[in-house]
Amino acid sequence: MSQIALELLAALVKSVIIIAGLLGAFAYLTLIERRVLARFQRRVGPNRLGPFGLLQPIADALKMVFKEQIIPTQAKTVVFLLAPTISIFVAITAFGVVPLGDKFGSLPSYWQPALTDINIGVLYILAMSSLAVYGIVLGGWSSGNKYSLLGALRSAAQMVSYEVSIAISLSGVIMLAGTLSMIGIVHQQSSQHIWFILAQPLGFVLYGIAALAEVNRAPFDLPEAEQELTAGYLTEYSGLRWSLYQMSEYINMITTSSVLTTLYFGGWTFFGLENIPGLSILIFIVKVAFFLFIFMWLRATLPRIRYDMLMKLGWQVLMPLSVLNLLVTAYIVAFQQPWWIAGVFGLITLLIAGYAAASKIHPKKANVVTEGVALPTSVRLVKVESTPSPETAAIS
Amino acid sequence: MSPTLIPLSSNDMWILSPEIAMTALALLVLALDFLVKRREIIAFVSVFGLVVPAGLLAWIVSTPNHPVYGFYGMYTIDNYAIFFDFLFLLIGAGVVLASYDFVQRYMRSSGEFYALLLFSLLGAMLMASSRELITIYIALELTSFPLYVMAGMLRKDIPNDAASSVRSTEASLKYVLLGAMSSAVLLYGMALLYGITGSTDLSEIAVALQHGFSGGPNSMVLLVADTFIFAGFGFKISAVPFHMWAPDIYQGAPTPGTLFFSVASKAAGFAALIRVFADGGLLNTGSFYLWGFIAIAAVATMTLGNIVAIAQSDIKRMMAYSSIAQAGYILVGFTAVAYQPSNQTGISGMLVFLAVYVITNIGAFAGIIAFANATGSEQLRDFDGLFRRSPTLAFGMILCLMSLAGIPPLAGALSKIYIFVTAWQEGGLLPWIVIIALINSVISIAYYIGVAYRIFVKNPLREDRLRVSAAISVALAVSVVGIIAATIFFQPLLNFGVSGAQALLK
Amino acid sequence: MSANILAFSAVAALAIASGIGVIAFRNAIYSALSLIVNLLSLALFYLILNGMFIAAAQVLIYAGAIMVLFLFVVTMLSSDKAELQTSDRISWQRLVGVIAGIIFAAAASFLLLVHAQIAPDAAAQGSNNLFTQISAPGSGNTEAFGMALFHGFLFPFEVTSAIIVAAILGAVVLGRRSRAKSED
Repeated sequence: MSQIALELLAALVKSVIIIAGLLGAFAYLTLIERRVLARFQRRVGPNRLGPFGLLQPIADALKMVFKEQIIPTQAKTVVFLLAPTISIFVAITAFGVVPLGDKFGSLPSYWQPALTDINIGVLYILAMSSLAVYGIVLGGWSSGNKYSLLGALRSAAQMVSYEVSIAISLSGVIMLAGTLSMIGIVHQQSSQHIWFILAQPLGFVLYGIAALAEVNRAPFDLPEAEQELTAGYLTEYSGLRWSLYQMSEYINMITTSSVLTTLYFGGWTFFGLENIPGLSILIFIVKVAFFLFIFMWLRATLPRIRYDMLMKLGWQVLMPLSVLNLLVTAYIVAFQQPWWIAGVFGLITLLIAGYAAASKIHPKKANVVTEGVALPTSVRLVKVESTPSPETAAIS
Repeated sequence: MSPTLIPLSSNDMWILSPEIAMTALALLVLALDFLVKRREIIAFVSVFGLVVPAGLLAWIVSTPNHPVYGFYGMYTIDNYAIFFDFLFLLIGAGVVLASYDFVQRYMRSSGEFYALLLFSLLGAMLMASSRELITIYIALELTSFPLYVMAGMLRKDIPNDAASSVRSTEASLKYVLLGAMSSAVLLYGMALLYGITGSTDLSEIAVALQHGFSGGPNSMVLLVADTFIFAGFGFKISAVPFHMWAPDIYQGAPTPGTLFFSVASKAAGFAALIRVFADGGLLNTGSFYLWGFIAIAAVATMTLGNIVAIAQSDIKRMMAYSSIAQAGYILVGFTAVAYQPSNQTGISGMLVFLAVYVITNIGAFAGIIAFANATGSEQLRDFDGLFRRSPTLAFGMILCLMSLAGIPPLAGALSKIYIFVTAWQEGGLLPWIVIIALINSVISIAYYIGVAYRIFVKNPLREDRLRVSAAISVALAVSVVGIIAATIFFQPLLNFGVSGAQALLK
Repeated sequence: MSANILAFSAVAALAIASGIGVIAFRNAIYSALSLIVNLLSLALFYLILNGMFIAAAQVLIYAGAIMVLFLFVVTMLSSDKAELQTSDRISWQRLVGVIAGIIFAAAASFLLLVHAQIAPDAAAQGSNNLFTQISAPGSGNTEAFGMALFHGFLFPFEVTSAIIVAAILGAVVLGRRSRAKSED
């Protein structure tokens, strides 16, 4: 067979494997998440179907398939049907540039377990995940439901706000590596003998937080906040279309974890172990699984943050800090300073920021005591103004 | 792989220092607005801060053999740019002085107004100095963005006009939309030029058009590029048929903003237009079609401007059409330049005319602003008997209007005659255009005299004396003195313009 | 080569169709969606020209950020009565506009296609200036882009920062209006 045909075949095989893998991972992630959350909450979780509940995803899938898929009468049908597809399409395509492992020994490079190695890999992921917002906005708008629309608008504002910090905080890594290619970044880390987390602790934390918001995961899942918005943009979706949204959320999560792994934790490398054929993929999967677990942990631990705080965090905390990180990294790269300067600086900034946050959450003087009743600091008593007199009412 | 890097030198920074000082001044005004309560200080800083860029400019000029080009030839500080830079600094001082009271009274954000004004002037200075299409475009946008905002900054209604703040918002929106469209047209022309020559640098474009372009200087695609670029700048200078925005926006915008549009936007538009056509070698292209097109635009611009101006009842609308007509006269000079590309006198005539127009218009608008501050009206009929209510204001305004009308021996007349004579000497069809321009000048006297008639002869509706504040008095006085000085010292001004033209057409 | 032309034609058709959609839809949201498709097809043009970086930037900035804000505003404004109920005040305006547009398109394409000799070789004749070297075409990759942006075109790039300050200032000034009104 000719070279091109072989490459095409390789690409086809790899994409089939990756898509199947992603869908399978999604199915079992739902199960794992439920089990993990159950553990956090001292429950058992689903364990009835099969050993450890392993058949549960299949049962869920069957249930979803046979559910009625309602299209509300007030919905804009075409967009309503299209929106979940956009979401899942964008989620899967974004994963396309993630390198899963090293080359297999002497096999030609097109069999490397990475679908493609374009020279703008990181930018491609950013571009694709920036499109993810359309699935949500259009779904929310086309549902013809106020809750859905509000959820969609929240999501649009949230994703646009956090995209800025994402791009800026990733630039630190890109400058250190000198390339935008995902594979190139992994190679750079092994040739510089560091994982970029060491040089970019601040960037790592900032990207982690912002990416969490970008994929609408707890504690940033305001678009689907059930107390306020029923289920946000998901309200009118049911059956398979609903599960498409779930699927894209989990796949986005996987992509984010993969980006974290690749950019900050050396991708498929692990102290030379990756040289054993085939092990590099396993190393990568373990690293990704670690971050996925952290995502679940965060979901189990943190309460959903308020909307104005979300915006404040994005624009007033994350963005200035990420610009700071960018400046320091630029200084390191331009003047060829050792990488640990950026690392130490990042750690110190993180400590200061963490201390500031902690002292804000737990102020030293808890003087929110009203009439002998101690209230938690999160409770703010509304000051009720005196009823307006008729004159002032008329003026206003 | 990578091309050799030539680092920027301190010379680049030195010749850019007027612009850097301008940026710093704008940011300083912005910061002062935040820190200082007293508004006079902000206006004071805005006016006297302009001394710094002017001083730097003068320092560069007075240095013998100062560097002319910087930033890989993108930026230049030749005599042409220097002429315009001084003009823009003058505009800045004049507009801030004339606008101070109005801004205090009718706008909430005075500091921002001055900061935006300074940013816009920065863009205008860059437009005059850029020799590269992308830089010119970016400078153009830097000039325009503040204008869009200034058009919408009227917060409180002017007493005699209940809808004026709404109209201000409308003007702003219209300005943004039309400005975006003109930018698109301009960019289309620039893209064609880049497609033909493969460069965005004006001197390289000139070389490529002369030697490398297989289509020859008269090819259709070049003519299309010429036309689009002319149209794009045509919006800025409000040449017919791209003038439609001017009356509505002049009327709707707060009057200091209108003053600024009528001088800064026009001067900057002409600065870049002449630069692109002369430095980019476009004057040598298109032959008959190019100058024919410009001639038609010139004739249409002055004729429409003058005739429609007669029918106006709002003085700002009248001034809008007047400024369109004035652009038409300048385009007569440009026609002469397009007809005979080595025509230095044509370009120097345009420069001098622009300078005189700017000085005069500042005075005329200062009068209008003073009147609006005192009476809250901008209708022509309220000017009746202004002479009896405020003789100094009346004299100042009349002098400016007479200069705009081109009544000898004022500077406006001298510069107009200079342009017309230049065009006449080219021969061919140009004398006919000059004849049309002369007829237009006669028509224009009708409405300028109309205002004079109202001010001097008619009986005032109210007899009270008008109070004119110090700042505007200064602006008006400076303008009047400027006109008289330009009349007396017309030859030095002309020499300055000629040196600018020589820098352009080496 | 023919594959390139095929791809170009397909994307061009998409771009034109979506461009018409922007102005033809009465519902502002569908117009915005058409604009998104149009911007994405522009990104595809860049890809056809091997401009990877600029294509990704196009998607990221236009489709991913600017249009989201468009949609944000449009959905918020017109959730109930999405259809714009505007009637033309001048009834023949639309017809004249269409005819003028067709004439313009025909004339422009005639001039450009028949009379154009757009020769990239003309560029090389220009000069041996460093400036042309740096902005040399055919290098759509990120390094060349960065080189052009931060070296050759550094000056206009820095001027954009002034534009951004002015634009933010303007947005603040105009955006503050509503609150100032309600205080009165």
